[in-house]
Amino acid sequence: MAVPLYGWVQGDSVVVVVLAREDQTVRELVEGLCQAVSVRVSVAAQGVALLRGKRLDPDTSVRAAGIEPLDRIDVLFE
Amino acid sequence: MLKRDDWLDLARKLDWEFSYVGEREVFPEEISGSPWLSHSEWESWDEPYRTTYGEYVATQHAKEASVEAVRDAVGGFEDYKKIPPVWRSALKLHAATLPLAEFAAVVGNLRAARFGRDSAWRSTALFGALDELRHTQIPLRLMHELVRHDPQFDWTHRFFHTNDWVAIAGRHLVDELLIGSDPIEFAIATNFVFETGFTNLQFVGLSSMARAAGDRMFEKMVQSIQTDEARHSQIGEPVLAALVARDPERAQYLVDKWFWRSWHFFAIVTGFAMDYLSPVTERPASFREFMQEWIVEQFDRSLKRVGLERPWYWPSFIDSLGTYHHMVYATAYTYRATVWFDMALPGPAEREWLLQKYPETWPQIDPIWSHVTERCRRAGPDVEWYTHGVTPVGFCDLCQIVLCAGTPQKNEAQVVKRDGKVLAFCSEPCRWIYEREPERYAGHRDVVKRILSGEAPANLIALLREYFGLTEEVWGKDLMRGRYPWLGSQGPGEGA
Repeated sequence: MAVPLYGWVQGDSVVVVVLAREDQTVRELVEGLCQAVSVRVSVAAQGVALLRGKRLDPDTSVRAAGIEPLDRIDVLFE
Repeated sequence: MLKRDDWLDLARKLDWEFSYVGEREVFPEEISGSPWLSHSEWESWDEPYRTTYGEYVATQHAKEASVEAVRDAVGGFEDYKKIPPVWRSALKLHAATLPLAEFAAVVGNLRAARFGRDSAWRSTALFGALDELRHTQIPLRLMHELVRHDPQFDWTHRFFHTNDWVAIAGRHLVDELLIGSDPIEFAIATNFVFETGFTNLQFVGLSSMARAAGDRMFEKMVQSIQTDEARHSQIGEPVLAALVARDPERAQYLVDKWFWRSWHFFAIVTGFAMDYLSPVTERPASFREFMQEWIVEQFDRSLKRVGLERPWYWPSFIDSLGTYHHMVYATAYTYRATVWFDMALPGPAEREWLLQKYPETWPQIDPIWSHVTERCRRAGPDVEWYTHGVTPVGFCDLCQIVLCAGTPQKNEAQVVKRDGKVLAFCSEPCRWIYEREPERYAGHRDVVKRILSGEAPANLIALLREYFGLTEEVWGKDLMRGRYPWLGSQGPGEGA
C-alpha cells in the first residue's frame, strides 16, 4: 500500500510530497526522496532519516518504522 | 459662506438617532464588526485627507487623463518590446495578481460604506470602493493591448479564475481579507496593515523600479494607483485607535495576523520583482533593504503611535526577510511551468549582487543555484525539464503557499494532527493564525489534499493542463530558454 509523506532533504528549499510503499525500507525511502529533489540538491553522501526528531533504522520497513500517512520525514547528512 | 472644512463636516457627518428601529438592527454586529459600540463612540471619527465629492471627481478625472496620455505615448507593443525581458515577467506577475484582487477590495469597501459606524468613515470608504474599481480597470485596460502579442498577458484577467496554486493562495488571502471581513477587520487588515503597511509604500518602490527598467507605463500606473491608496488607507488608523481603546487584545491579534499574511504575499510578488525579475544593474535596493526602510521602520512607528506592540513573531519575521522569498523563488524556478510567467536563472552577476545584499543568508541558498546552473549547462538550450521538478511539493494549510519557511539547513514546516486530519503549516505564525480560528479555515483544502482526494491529477502535465488551466504556450519557462551568455562561465562559489 502506498503512503503519502511529506519529505524534506537537507539543503533543499521546499518540503516535497512522495509516495512510499509500506514494505520498502527506510534506506529506499531516503534514496527516493533524494532523487525527488535532485533538481535542486546535490547529494554526495548517504542520508539519515528522521521521524519526529528520532533517527530511523535504514534497514527497517516503512510500516515497521511506524510511519503514517502525511508524516514528515527529514533526510539529514552527517 | 461656510469655510470648506466647516461645510465638509456638514456634508459628511450625517448620522442621526433612530426612532423606529434600534441602532443594533441598523448595524448588526455580525456584519458591522466586533466589538459593537454605539455611535457615540465613533462620532469623532476623522481622517486627514477630508476629501469632498467634488474634489474627488476632479482629482480622479485628472489622474485618468494622465494615465491615458502616458498610455497613448508609451503603452503600445513597440514600447513594450523595449522593456528588458526579465522585467516583462515582473510585469506579468503584477498584472495577474493586481486587478481582480482590487475588485475584491471594491466589495470590502462597499460593505464599509454601508456598515462602517460613522458617516464620515462610510463616505471615505465609498471613495475607496470607487478607487478600487479604477485599480481593477486600469491594469485590465493597459494589458489587454498586449494579449494578442503575448498570451501570458491573458492571465491578467484569467489568473483568479483558475486553480493554479498561486491563484488558490491568492484567493485564500483575498477572500478573507477583502470579501469576508467585517468593516472593523477590513479597516485594520486592509487599510492599516495591507495598505498603510505594505501597498502604499510598495507602490513607491515599485514605480521607481519600473522607471529604472524603462517601463514608463507601469511606473505611471502604480503611481496613479498609489495616490488613491495613500488616501483611503487612512481609514485604518482611526478605526484601529478606537479598537485599541476598547479591546486592545483583539486589536493586537488582528494586526499580528494580517501583518504575517500580508508579508507572505508581498514576499513573493515584490520579493521576486526586486531581487530576481529586474535587471541587476538597475536595482535601486534589495528587497530586504526596501522592506527595512519602507515597511519595517514605518510600520513600527505606526504601531507605536496607536499604542500596540510589534507582532509576537517579529524576530523570526526579521530573519525571514533574508531567506523566505529566496526559498520560494528557488522552488518556483524549478517548478516554473506551474506559473504563467517566465523565470530567470540568476547568473554570476546576480548571485554576486545577492551575496553582497544578503551576506549572512545567501551562502546557504547559493548551492541550490550552483546545482541548477550545472544541470542547465549540461542540458543545453531549450531543455526545460532537466531543471524542472516533477515531484509534488507541500503547501501550507493556512497561507496555501509552498512549504518554504526557514533555510536550506532547517525547514520550519510543521505537520500536526487535528480532529482526525493532518495539517501542514509552513511556519509557526501560520499555525498560530489557523489555530486561533480553525472553523474559519478548516473547510479549505490545499493542492496536495486535492490531489490525494482525486479532485486534481497527480501527474504534473495533467495537473498543469487540466487543473491549473495552463497550456504549453503559456506556462512559465526559463526566461532565456537556457541561452545565457554567461552559462559557460562559473558563478560565485563554484570552482573556488
